[in-house]
Amino acid sequence: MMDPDAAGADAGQASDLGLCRQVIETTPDIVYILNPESVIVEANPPLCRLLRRSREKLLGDKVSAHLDRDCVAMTERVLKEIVERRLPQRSTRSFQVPGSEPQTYEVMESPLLRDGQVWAIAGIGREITQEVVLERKLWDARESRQWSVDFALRTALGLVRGYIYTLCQGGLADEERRMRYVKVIEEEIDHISKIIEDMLDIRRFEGGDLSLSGDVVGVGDCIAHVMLQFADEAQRRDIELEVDVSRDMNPVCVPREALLRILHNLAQNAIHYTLHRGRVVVEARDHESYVEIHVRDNGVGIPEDEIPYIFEKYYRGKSISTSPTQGTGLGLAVTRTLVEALGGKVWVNSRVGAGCDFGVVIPRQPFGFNEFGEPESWKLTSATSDSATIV
Amino acid sequence: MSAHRVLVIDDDPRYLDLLQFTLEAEGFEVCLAQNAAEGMKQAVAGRPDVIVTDVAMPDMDGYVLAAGLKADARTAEIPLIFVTARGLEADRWTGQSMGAAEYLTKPFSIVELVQRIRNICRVHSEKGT
Repeated sequence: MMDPDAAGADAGQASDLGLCRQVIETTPDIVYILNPESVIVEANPPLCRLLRRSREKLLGDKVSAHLDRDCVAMTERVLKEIVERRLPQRSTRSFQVPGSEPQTYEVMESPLLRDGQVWAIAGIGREITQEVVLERKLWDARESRQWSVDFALRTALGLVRGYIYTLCQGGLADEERRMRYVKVIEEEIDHISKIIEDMLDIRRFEGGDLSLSGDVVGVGDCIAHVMLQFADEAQRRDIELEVDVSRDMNPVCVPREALLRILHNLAQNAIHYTLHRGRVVVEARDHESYVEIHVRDNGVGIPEDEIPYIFEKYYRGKSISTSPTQGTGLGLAVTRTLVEALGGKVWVNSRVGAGCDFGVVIPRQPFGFNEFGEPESWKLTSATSDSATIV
Repeated sequence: MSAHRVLVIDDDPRYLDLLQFTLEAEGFEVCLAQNAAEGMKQAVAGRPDVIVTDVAMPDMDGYVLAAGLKADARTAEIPLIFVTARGLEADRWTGQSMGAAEYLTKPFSIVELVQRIRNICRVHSEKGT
């Protein structure tokens, strides 16, 4: 006689399988199983409708018999990756059968394992509207250019909000921890302010609405000032900061704020892409009519194909930042605009794994002096202008 | 009653520190992972009651991590909360379609996160009884 518990378990299992079958057949999503050779093992009704074939006609066929070439190529590439890595893959795929409009699906494909080997791949796809496709394209475009001002702001604001909440809750008896939290808040507020400043500057440059006054400034003093701003972060991440400036450097006549921004952005970039126990060196040299500044690091470096774009607005390289602080892709764009407005030039030499050498030359006295012997003030006329107009 | 276990996965150590401190203060047992691969290992080894994970991590997209956890019978039932700076509707949609129990966008409220974790734990405790 059958054990009633076992019979109950069997019935339960059968009912579970029945339920699964019902879900697969009634869901509006496409559901399928492919073997690693891309042969269709299972297809639910929405997929049959999409491919305009009955289930019986689809089972046992390779996907290449029913899909257009691009979709087949992408499917085969994804399957290969799933089999090799044994990890699921998410992708957006456009299915097109002859005589119909292409339909776009967000597809998640997962490996089905047997004895540790991938014997099949289960896929679930949901049709996505043009609105979602556009939004995703926008995100992809942002990601490919690493346009992430919103991402950086949200990350920073999340930290500020979280740490303020923690401090307000009280009960933080540990003074060292309390100070660390206050420090994170301060740093993130500085970071948010910097993002806002960069965005406003970009807008001002583009609108030709930026006026600054020239100052007689010491390059060495500005470098020391900027290095001080990064001393804590460098110490925390065990990065050595080195300054190499000759004591007898002559002053330059440029807006102090602009020079500080240029140095800050270059130093920040170097520190963000330098590994623990790395080194950042800022060096300045006098020449007759200009000063030359280098910011060198031994960090992750920039791939050759990215170098032409790194001074573009909102561009962030694919190299992974070594700092938890999120970049925005604005710092180097602002740097180039300021340097060029001063009649100078900025460039970079880099090799992946060896680090970067950012070089800047700035004329010692780009805008001269007025009749009273004071430095001229200047105004940018447009973002595309290579030079500033003296006003 | 033993404390509910929460696994937090984020590549930003400051978020890990924040969530560890606040969740422990709320009575949870917290374990941390600084990347998705480590998170996957800890999920299998520690069987937490809830996983709170970032989405944009250098080693693996949080959505891929989620699918990996769902594909493994040992971790498939663990509820997931995505905590991310990706605020587009398409991302929320993706997170939810990946079976996330909750999807919070940074800057999120700690109170809300704690409440959602408690709700999930309560529902799972009731299911288990």
